[in-house]
Amino acid sequence: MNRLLRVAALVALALAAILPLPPAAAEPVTVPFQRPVTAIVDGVVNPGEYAGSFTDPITSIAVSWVHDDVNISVGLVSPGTGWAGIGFGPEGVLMDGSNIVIGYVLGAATVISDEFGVGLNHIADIGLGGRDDILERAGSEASGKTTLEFRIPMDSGDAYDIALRTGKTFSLLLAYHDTADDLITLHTSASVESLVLERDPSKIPTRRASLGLEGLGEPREAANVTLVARLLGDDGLPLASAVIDFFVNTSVGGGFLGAAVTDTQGAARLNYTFLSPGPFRFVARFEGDLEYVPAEANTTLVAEHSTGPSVLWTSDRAILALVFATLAGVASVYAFVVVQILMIRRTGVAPRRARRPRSGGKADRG
Amino acid sequence: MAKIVVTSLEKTVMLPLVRPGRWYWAIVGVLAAIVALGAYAYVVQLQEGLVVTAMRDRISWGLYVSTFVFFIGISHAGTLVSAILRVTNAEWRKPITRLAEAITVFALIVGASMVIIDLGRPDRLLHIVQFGRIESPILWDFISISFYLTGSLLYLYLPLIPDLATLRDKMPSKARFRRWLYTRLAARWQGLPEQRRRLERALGAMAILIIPVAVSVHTVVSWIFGMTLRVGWHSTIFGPLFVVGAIFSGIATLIIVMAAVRKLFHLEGIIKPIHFRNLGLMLLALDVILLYFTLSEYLTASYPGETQDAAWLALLGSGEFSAMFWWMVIGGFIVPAVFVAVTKAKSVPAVVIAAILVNVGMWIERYLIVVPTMATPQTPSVIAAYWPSWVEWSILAGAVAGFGLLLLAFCRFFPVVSMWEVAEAAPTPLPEPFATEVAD
Repeated sequence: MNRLLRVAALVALALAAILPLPPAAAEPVTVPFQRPVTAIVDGVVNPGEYAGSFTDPITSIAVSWVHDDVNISVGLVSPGTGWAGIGFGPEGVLMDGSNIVIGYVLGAATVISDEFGVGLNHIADIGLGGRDDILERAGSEASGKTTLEFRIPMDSGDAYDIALRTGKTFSLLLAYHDTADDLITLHTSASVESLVLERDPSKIPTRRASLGLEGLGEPREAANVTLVARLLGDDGLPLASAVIDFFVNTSVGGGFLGAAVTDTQGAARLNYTFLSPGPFRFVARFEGDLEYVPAEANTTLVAEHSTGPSVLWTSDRAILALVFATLAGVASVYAFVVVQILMIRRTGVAPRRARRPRSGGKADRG
Repeated sequence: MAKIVVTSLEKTVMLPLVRPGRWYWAIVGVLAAIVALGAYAYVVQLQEGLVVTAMRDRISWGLYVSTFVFFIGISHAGTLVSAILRVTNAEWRKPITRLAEAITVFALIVGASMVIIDLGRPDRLLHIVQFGRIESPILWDFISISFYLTGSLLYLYLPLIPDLATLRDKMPSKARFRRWLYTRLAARWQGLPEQRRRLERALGAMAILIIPVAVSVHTVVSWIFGMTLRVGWHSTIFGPLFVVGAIFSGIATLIIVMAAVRKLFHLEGIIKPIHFRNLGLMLLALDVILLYFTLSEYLTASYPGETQDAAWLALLGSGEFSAMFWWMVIGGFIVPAVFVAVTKAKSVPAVVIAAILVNVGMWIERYLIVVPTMATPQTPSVIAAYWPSWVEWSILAGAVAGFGLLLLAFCRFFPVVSMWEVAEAAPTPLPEPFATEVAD
């Protein structure tokens, strides 16, 4: 037993030792801005060729890169002779919706493919109905390492390529295989980091836009309102063609509702249906652009109770009947039990003070 | 003077009611002091408002709601050990059913009080009756907990009746208040065939009914979270996950309470290693099931790689809550399983240590269900921060101590072992000393 207690104490100490070690969140890696870009896509990464470089501690893949706000140039050196790949995706996402560039070198042939993340798989853009948007590509293999170089547009316009914008954070995926020269074998090692593309220093936005948000329509359960966000420049003129994201925060959650583009009056509209009464806080957000910094507005609408049936439960009466039938069933069993207790009491004889009554069950007959 | 026959079993079980011992009073004193601290903190909260807690607009459910879920969970001890084993006619359960049933009632009382404390304004409890809508899971929860508490009280009381009659008849005559109390509660029990038949019918009905009622309670508690659209909560596995977790922590609590009561009241001859072994093996089985559910929950959330899911999982796996998360997985699930498996649950200390680790892990699990989800922003914003204030910690300590105090008070007035059921347990012959008779 003492040995067991000692083991238990050691385990407790070991577990306690885990507690004060929350790992620090990693800072995003940065792709530097450079214009003109001097990197040459020839299959060889020379020292100083790229303005920035980064070696991933998990996969040991060395990435060299630079962008000029139009294209991004990448040199990838993997520690194997099989395939290597890099992906740019929405922040916090593993593969789904990511723009993936993957390739390998087999003898004299270099294959580099523009692919798109679907779930935890990747499919060539062409196979999905998109385009291969790689502008330049080259590769080589030496000393057990594979080098892939390519240049892609930051915003190709293809539905199967993510638009890379400066100043925003993206997911960075890196993976390779030791030996497999194909695009399907599961990686030897992979990692996920976050990535930021440095802004063009000459284009850092400084202007402040004003954003207003209102709800048009009667806020009532089961009714629609139109959320209208109006974006004005610092000169008071409407800003057209800007993307406004709409969010809602309710007591039961909600989050992102959708995005809309401002019209010539600077107005972006989105319809919303109240599923329940109560306060709803809406947020509209403009992410900013090359001139304007991001702006945000919010408004709270209080939806009144619906005069008609609840939209949450279309068959209110049937469900209410079921609920009350169940509760009545439970209550009736309780009542039955109480009746049994009363009958037990009625069957027995009241104890008299003068004489000790008979004792309990079989136990007291033992 | 009439001769009163007191069996050794009755003597052993009734002794704590008459002379609980110094340790009993020492523990009561310590627990009462902690309860007083919790009560003081609650008075401060009532005077100053919820601003004295660390809860704000972003994280409005914290320690109180986590503790509420935890206590509702451990209330499942009575259901499983008593009702399920009664329905399946498992004879070994008889010495421990009373404790399990008492745990259920007191855990429900303490758990429900945590919600009232969380309200800030206790008078607003009436709003749920005045303004509650049947579409709201909060109202479902209110109804199901009320029904469960009522059923659990009935289920605790029913098998007490024959023992209350024994106490009525055999308590020393100078204990006048107690004899009056037992006389009132014993429902004129005399062990007549008709009374026994009615008792068995009532017990049979309650044993069957209380199982779905208990399952519904923790399912509904899970729906308070699961019916929202929040990341980490909107999950179809939440119902079964909560129910299994509840039974898991309920058994762990029962093991801890059994060990304490056994030691405190010298009940080693009645609560035996076989009870710890059987419960330890049940703990192991539930541990494995819960690990499977937990893996399923987190894997399903992580696989699609949705942005909010990824942010929430990052908080748990490598962010602010990672230490607690990994403590829960390793200390609350894996280490107890290893302890029980390696010893084959034959060592009482090993089972008790495993049970303590399980309960710490399960409380952390409840905390991690509530807080990280609320910390994850739904609209563009930073991750919200929360660390409970001294008021919240004090009330938590007071709640745990209050639970212990209620149990100890119960032990002072009622037998912790069902004497009539143990005496009737034919497959488990009573030890030799129980066959002796003692004259009054």
